[in-house]
Amino acid sequence: MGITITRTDSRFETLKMGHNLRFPASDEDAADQIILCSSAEDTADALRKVIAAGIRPTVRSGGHCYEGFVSSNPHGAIIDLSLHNTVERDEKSGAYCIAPGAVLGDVYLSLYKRYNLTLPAGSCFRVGAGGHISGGGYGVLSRLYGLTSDWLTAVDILTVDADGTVVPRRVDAGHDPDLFRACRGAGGGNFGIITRFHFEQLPAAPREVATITLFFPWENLTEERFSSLLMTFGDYWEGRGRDPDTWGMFSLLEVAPQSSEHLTLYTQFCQHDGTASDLGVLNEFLDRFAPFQPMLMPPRSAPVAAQRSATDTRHASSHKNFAPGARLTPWLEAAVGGGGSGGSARAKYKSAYMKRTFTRAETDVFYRFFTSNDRSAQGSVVSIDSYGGAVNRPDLVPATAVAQRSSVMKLQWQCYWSEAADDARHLRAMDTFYTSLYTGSHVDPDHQGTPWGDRYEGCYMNYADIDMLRYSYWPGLFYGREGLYPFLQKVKRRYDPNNIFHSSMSVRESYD
Amino acid sequence: MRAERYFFEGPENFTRRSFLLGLGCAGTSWLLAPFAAGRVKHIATKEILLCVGSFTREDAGTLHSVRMQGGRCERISSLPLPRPLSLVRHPRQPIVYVASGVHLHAHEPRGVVEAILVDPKTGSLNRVARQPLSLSATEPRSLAISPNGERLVVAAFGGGAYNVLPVDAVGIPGPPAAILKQVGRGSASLEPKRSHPAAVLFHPREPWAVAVDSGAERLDLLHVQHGTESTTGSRVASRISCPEDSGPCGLALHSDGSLLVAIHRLRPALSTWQIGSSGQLSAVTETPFDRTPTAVAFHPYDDVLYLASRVSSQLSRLEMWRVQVPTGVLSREAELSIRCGGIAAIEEVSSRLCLAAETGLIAVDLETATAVPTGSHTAADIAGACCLTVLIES
Repeated sequence: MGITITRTDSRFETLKMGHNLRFPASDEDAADQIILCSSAEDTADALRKVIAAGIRPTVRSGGHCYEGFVSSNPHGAIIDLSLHNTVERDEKSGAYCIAPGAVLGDVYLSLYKRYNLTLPAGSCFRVGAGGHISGGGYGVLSRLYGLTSDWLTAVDILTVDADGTVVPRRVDAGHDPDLFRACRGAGGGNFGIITRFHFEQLPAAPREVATITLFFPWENLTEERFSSLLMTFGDYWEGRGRDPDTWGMFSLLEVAPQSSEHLTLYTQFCQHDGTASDLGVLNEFLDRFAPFQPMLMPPRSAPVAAQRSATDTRHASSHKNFAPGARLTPWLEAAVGGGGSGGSARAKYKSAYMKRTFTRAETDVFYRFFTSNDRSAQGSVVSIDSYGGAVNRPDLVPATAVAQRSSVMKLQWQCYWSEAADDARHLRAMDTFYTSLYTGSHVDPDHQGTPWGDRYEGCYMNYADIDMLRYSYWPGLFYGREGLYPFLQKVKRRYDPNNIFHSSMSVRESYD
Repeated sequence: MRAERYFFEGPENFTRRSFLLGLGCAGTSWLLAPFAAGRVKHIATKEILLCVGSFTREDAGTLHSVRMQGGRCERISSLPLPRPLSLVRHPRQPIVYVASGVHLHAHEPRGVVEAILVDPKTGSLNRVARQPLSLSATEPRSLAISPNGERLVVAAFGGGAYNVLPVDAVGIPGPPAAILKQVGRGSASLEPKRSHPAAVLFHPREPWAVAVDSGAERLDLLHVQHGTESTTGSRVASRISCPEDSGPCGLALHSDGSLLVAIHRLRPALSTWQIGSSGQLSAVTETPFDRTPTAVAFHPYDDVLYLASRVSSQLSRLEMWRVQVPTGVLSREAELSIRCGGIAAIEEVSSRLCLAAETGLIAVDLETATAVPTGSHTAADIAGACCLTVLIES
């Protein structure tokens, strides 16, 4: 039996919210109840009750939905799965089973300590498995091992049939294969409630990784050099980064405002054998950034001597092709040692997949925004993640619900602030910034303002962004142009005929 | 999601007093009071103001105000308004609520209810509020207002849900006070097979609304919470199944609230139901029909039922049935063939009937003593007329 938290409960004000404090936008928008479930049975009971009462259920695992798809649920019920969080091996099937409420950090710890395995998933450790895996899921090991949902072999899911009956299903390639495919990346809150993810196999956890963080002081970055830096990063992933020997390398270039004093490049590397015994690939990558005089410490705390140089042999010197400034770290420490996913704040996020490196026109847009005095720019960052590698397997397109299999970078826009009164200003600024990047002759006239066309591959469903709804072709941005969305609409009609599970960006019955 | 409000003098000046002054009148006594009028026959020479909604392939939707006198109509104002599928007037304010049967509002899947202020002198139409429905409550097809004007119940056909909206003292609807998502396996003849609330009517005295779900093929009795003390009291209090594959699609409720008539379009029929004192529904009769019924309405003062059916694309039939209210027995008494497309709505207007038909607004003369329809003519060329309501009789 789940625990029902109503408005009179002292926990309600805390539990009504997720990570993004913009939601619920008002007391009226909040759900009337939160039902905390510790098992699949609890979840089924809770779902039966809310269906019988005509209440809209939304589903929460870690609470990191970027939009208000879960927390904004007027008169509704949040079915909270955070207490349903086991990570275990099914004795019968031998599959590794992850409950949706498990947070990624605990998943890594359990899989590593019990089985010496891991999951190629996100680096934010408080993110819940439920939403993350449903939307595809990717992270630091994805270039090496693929997307999280690529490894899924079965899912336990509760659907609601036309009569309103809650139907528990185990779906896989042989049972309800259409629903199984949809559960491999279409995003949470569409078809039912997943109560367990099954993985017949998982990749071995790397033994060690080499990590390095470089800082590029803004004071060294003219517009020209800024542009060159971004292009250097993009060129690598468009070119050399496609080679399999680089797939063990993940890099994140964080572009932050001038007031933050620097841009940050975080890189992690291991070889296919899970070691970091030969850092030649890493070194080659890092050498490309030498002209930009990166530093190993943030500018304020770093003396000039801390610049990365060939004479620095403090770390990794016993390894072949050691990379100056890099640290060799046990993989587990690199995976879970860094902490969580930041504190809660009011926030807005956007995303884009890139199939090519940056153009000068694009880098100029970034430069103008981040060197402006705009208040929104001061609270913003764009994370440019390396992508591709094992993700870009065309054979997985028809087997999963992730269409983007050609990109080399994935961008995440983030803007954070604290006051509700500033919501409109920041939302507008982010929208303008993002739209301007995709406006011009590089995008065809019918898709201006969106990452559409030969250079781009749309947006990531786990970085939900309701601004994109204003484009009639928004499903094409998130699900590609090759028929995935019509397929998902069929799945929706079949398994959720009443549209019980819905949000403003859920799969719709018709292509509106 | 809160209503978008539309003001004449700017939001900072909006008060109940300025609102009423904006109407150009000090009071509201000129409005037809629908449940206070009693069983009094009206005189056909009155000047009447009607609101008519229409949409066609060429016209995304329009709300018209029409002045009617002596069976002649003059269209005096119009307001573009997407897919106006159902109209209801406030019992005291000069406001008409329109179910705008859209799939999307502000790019989100939800329908909309519009509140339109009607100037009684000029007939001009001004939007005063646009209230989005709950997420996924798409294609609202019918709406009803409580006799005290405090609650609107909306049947969202596409989204399979009812929304209960609070209405403030000056007639502005607020965000849903209750959202009742429906489930139910629909008829084999309908795709998709799920709930499609199609029509809703308020009981004249009790806090109930009766609704028909053409997808789930049932009648729903909704208990509607009034007042502000609770926003969650509204619920579906009871349900009763209609015959499978009958496709119930329309409702009429006798003015005393004791007798309900449903029309069925898949297996054409007319079914009657008695409503008990505590709201229980019990079936009385089902009368098979030889054509697909398209609209039904009780005469507001006589024990008479009017039923429209489609004969062909250019011909409809209007039947008059006498009703024995205590028993629920119906007997057909007269019929009239009318050269018009499908009739979507019937309204008694001062001893006449007005019909919203595909080909226009049709006026039907009634014999004064018996309420038998005797003749018809096109009163206004409003193509795609699909709903209407009477605003003012003066």
